[in-house]
Amino acid sequence: MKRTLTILICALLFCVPFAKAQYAHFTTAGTIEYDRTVNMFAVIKRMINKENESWYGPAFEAFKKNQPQFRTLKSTLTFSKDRTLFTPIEPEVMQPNLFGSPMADQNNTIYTDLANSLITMNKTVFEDKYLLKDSVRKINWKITSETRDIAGYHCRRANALVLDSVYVVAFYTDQIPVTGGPESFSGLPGMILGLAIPHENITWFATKVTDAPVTEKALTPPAKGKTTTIKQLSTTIHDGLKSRGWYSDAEIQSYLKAFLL
Amino acid sequence: MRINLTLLIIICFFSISASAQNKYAVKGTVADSVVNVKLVNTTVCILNAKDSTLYKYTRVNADGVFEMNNLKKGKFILMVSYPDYADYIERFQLDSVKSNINFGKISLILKSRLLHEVMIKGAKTAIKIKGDTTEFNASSYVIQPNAKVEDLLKQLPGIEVDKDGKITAQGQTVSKVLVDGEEFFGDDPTLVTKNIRADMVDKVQLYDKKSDQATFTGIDDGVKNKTINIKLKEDKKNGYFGKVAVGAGTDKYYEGTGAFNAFKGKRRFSVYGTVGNDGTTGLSWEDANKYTGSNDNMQFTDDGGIYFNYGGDDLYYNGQGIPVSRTGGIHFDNKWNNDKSSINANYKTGYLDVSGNSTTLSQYNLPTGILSSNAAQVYDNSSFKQKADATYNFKIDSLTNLKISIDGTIKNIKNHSNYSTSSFHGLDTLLNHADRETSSNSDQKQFNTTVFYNKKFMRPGRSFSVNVSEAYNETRTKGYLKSITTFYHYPTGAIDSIPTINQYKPVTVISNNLTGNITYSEPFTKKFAVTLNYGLGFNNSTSDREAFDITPATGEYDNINTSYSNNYKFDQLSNQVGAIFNYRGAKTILTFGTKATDVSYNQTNIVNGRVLKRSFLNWSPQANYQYKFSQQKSISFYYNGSTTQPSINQIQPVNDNSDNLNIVQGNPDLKPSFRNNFSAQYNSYKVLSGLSVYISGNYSFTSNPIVNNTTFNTTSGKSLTEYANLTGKTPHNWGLYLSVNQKIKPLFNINVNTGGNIYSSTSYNYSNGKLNETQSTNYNGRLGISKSVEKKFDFYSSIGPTYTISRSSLQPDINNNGINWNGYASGTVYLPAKMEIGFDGNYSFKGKTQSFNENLEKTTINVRLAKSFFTEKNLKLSLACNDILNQNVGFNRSAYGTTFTQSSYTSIKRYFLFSISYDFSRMGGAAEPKK
Repeated sequence: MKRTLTILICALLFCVPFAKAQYAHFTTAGTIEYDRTVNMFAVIKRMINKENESWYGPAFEAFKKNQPQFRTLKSTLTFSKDRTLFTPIEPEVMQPNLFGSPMADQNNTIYTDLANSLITMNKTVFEDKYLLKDSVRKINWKITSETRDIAGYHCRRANALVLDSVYVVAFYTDQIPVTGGPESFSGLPGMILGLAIPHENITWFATKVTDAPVTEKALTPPAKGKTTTIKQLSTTIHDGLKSRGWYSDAEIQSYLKAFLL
Repeated sequence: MRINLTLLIIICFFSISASAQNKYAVKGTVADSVVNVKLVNTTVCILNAKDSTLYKYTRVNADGVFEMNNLKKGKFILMVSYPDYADYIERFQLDSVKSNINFGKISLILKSRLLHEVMIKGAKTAIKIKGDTTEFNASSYVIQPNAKVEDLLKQLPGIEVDKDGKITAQGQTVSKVLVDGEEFFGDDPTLVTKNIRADMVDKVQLYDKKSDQATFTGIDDGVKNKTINIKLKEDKKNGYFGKVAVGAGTDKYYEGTGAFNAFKGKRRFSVYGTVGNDGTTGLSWEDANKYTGSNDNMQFTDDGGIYFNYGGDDLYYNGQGIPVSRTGGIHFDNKWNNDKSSINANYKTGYLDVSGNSTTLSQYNLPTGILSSNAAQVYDNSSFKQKADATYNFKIDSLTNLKISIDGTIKNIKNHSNYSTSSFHGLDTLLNHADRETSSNSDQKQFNTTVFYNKKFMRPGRSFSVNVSEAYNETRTKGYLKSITTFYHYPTGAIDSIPTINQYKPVTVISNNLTGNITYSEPFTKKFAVTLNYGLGFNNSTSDREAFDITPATGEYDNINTSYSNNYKFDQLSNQVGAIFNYRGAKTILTFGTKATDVSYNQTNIVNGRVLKRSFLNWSPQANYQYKFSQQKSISFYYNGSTTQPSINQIQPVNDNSDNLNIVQGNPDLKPSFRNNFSAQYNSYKVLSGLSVYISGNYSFTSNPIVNNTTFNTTSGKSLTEYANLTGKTPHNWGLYLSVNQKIKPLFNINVNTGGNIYSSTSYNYSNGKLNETQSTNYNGRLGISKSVEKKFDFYSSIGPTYTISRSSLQPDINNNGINWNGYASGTVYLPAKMEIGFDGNYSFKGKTQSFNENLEKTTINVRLAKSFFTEKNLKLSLACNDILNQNVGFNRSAYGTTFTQSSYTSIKRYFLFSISYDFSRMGGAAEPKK
């Protein structure tokens, strides 16, 4: 009711032709479609090390010859004033991920309760699905004066570090007063429509924002998966890989980073 | 990083404690500067003044008021923003003096009223690039070490970089900077320090990029953006690496390897050589990848499959006899023209001589009785091979590719054998005894050329390709056959006759195969496509086999022996059309279709001028279904039908008397056979729990098969084998395979591998004119364990039984049912002081059967001890013992249908080998082009 009223007021304010003042329209509920683009050449190149280069090296050369440099996957973020649900969209056509890098896949469905700062996340780790409940990730954003337009919305850039050392660039808009974003990135005064993890060669950019009320059902938190915590899950991944005997510590760290981002 | 985190916690702690005091607060109202109306929903942020990190934010309420309480003390920035209005920024401080600030009325100004404001409109990422490009070569500008990209850009004509890092090119603002085609966001130096250094840059490209709309729709809306693309230098690869390894052992065993590889930019050159008489016949797989140009062996398909084609380039040693080998090779590859052109060239040579002796006992169970034979052979075979190949690849544009491959091989093979054989009726009534000497010297030449042109279109999935290839094979053999055979009369045992053969047998076989194939793929929808093809092939071969008997008086081989001589020409003309449909969904791949080939045979017996013309329509249907549950779990079904053409050896109407007691005769009336093959497989792999399951099964049957028709003469011990198409019966076989791998957590994470397979086949042959059906089924089970801990040890072992049941219809009472066991183990322990101990061993047990009344057991174990030196571990001394138990006796026995054979042969047994290997490398100082 309150939401409808807000929309109504906004709409009214927007329509009334006040002299010269320019009222903006604020989107408080709707759906955002994101394109997640991964620079596969750079991701694969990082996976090559001295041990595997005699086999990965030629495979990478062959990959570069007839596979595209960028792999694009789609996702949606459904949001209302204080809740968001981020859902990856399965590609229509099979997209091979030859080197099996989890960085190139979309592993998370994330429900965020902004009012209580809680997230419920379904995370796919290799073949297993886990259900995690946690508080919203705290990100210490640095606001900048750089701006750009994304999907018709005026956005401002903010930078931050997550997981201690991963550099993240976000573009948020004042016009959507919901503190959400793709994957588990949030905490800015407005909706994040663009996100980049430059040193992991991944970007998310909104391609379309649908401004419409969303039903309660469209914001159902994920419920499937083995219940775990972030801490338990990192131990499971670390020990599972370590006991295989052939993953180096650096490789295990990069798997951990990909799954926990 | 740790410090930052601590800092963060401290800050958080302070902010909590500060907020507990609840004394610091700010408030204000926001309105339009001119018309003075309230701007509801305006974003009001408080940033930390120190580093402009976001501290708190709120929105202006419906009354145009904002208010933030529970703040901490400190220096801050107030940032007020509203769409299309200029930002309002004000610095302020909260402390004991001023704990509450009322900003009063904040007036925002519409951007359109601010003339000097320049709006930079960014856009979402897009990759396809068209338009004019200005390219700057970074190396032509002077760059200070550790200079940033901005410093380089400033030097480029027409490009300006202002103090805020805003870039202007040719008077226009640059909207986007790309690095190797990917958007470059620029790093915040207070958060990360991984900026691109100017010395990593190869080229700077400046071009007009169409708006995304124009790129997307193809309709040019006239909007262009200036874009800079920074091309980084490829990894600098200047330097070399190589290895030298030599080993000397007891019993005159030795081995040696030398290899060297050098890089210079994109050029690569390598050379290697190996020698040995201990069974090594070339570089190891790993070294072959390093020192030969094996890049081309791996190919990716558009749908992401990987294909390996490791050709039979290498010399092969099958474990029988003592091998002496020498191999060597040179490799060169280069890329130029922005990597659009590449060449890959190789020269390889190899020599292998295998000598030894063997004895073979055979038993033929015929309905009319048993024939048996024993044969002793002393042999010395050698081959010398040289191969040169070159591949040129030219990427004409991003969608078009041309590839030309040429290779040529020259091979000389020398065989020399002396046989002494005796044939018996039953097991002991001598029918004949033969001493035979064969020698041959054969020269082979092979040339292959392939031209492959491939064009893709803008529409994904549409493509066109042309492939033309020519393969030429020539084998010229000069052979001699000398034999003296004594036939004994059955059953009296008196000498019947003593025929001798002394023949010169020159054979020339030439084949020339020219094929052309055109394919076109057209997508109907995003998911469904068809590939059409047309192929034309000319396959011409001739086989000139001659046998000359000696004229004893002159010693000349000048009497042609017509029963062993023939000159035959076999030409095939084939026309092929095909349509293969392809569906690709999110988790499903379905492929189905067929190719149909019309083949015309033109067979000419040049000796008598008889011509036989026939034609066949061969079908090659195929269907393939795959469902992928997840990245690590899938199921698939596969069917294909294929035609096997008879070879010229099988159709040439001539007797082959290389083994003059067992003659083989060709059949010009042979028809192609057709095989149907069905298979299914399921696999699942769980990375973390380490459970993998693989199940597969297959079934195939052949119609119109080509079978052997052997006639034994039970009184002379001779046999004649002919080829024939079998009608009315279809040989078939099926198999099931299961493998389960599981990591056992309570048992130190040991990996347990268990599995089994069943293989069954039914085949046919004629024996003295009677059809014989042979059925054989193998049941195999195995259990293995493995465990590896990085840099500590690895261990693998497996063992399992195989039980064989076989039956032949002509001799239902005779079978060779029995059990075999096979085991394998290997392990390495990495000790301190750069030492390692390793072993590998094989165990085999062949249980007694009805026809072999003895168990056979053999265990061969190889051990090695090695010590490395230097931090790089590049000098390694090792002592190895091959077959420490000295049990590697060359012995084998087998049963097929009604024939049982057992043989013993020369093999490599126990010896010790001391070896030393040294790896060296020097790579130039490469600037890691990382962002």
